[in-house]
Amino acid sequence: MKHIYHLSIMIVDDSAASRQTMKLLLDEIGVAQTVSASTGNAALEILDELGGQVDAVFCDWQMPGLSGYDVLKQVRAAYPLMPFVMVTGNADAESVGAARASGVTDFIAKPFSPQTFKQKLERVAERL
Amino acid sequence: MPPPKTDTSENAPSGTGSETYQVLNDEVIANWRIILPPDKINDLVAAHIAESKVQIRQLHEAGKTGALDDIRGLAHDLKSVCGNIGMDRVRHLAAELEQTCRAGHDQDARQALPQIEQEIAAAAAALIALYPAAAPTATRDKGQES
Repeated sequence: MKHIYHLSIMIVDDSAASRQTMKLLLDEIGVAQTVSASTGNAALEILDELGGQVDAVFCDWQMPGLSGYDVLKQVRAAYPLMPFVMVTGNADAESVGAARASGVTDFIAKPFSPQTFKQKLERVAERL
Repeated sequence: MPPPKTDTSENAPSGTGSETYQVLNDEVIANWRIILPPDKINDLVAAHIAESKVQIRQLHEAGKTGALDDIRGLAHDLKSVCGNIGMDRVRHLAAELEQTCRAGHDQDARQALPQIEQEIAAAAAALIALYPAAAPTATRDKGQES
């Protein structure tokens, strides 16, 4: 288990407000490092530049260009054990089931409360 | 998400389908207050107001010339953004719009946009009344986007 204060988290979301929300939360929770990307392509480039030195990815599922699923496939190929949390506005059983089957570690339904977000982050930390 | 609340104040219902939803969901706002300091809440409010205004502008553009699926995607995004900050009535209307688009009701979808714009304005005004310091930032952000 890694302490939450030592985590490095990547946020991927095309919504600036959503990115800011997650960044504010992560800062307030005390996470060591946060990197943000507004597209799937940018996320993959940043991950590559960082040599995969990110503890977990929190990724919006429905984005223009590369979707969350597309990002997941590439992250799984390069970093099979990296926790990948799907952030989605479609948290119905079918969508979540399909996402789990495709290899997401966990999911957060949008809109989310700060408490839910923190719980999910703690679960990620427990896996590390 | 906390359940919608019945409202008896100036948050009174307007339009069909949104009767049980407040302009602002107090519980959502209270949750943010627990974890974020006031200055960060101001930033959060400003960012969400700015983005919701961009989104309704994009929805209007899509409503004029775009495909129904474009409207659906934008409605989906608006639902998330407005839900995060407690704009409950807008979140509900955006969710309805998303469903309307999925059902292929083209005309109904395009006709829903003015009411959503009206509710965004009401929610933004209510948020700024709660967080006056968010107003200048929201205005500035809007200016920067144009």
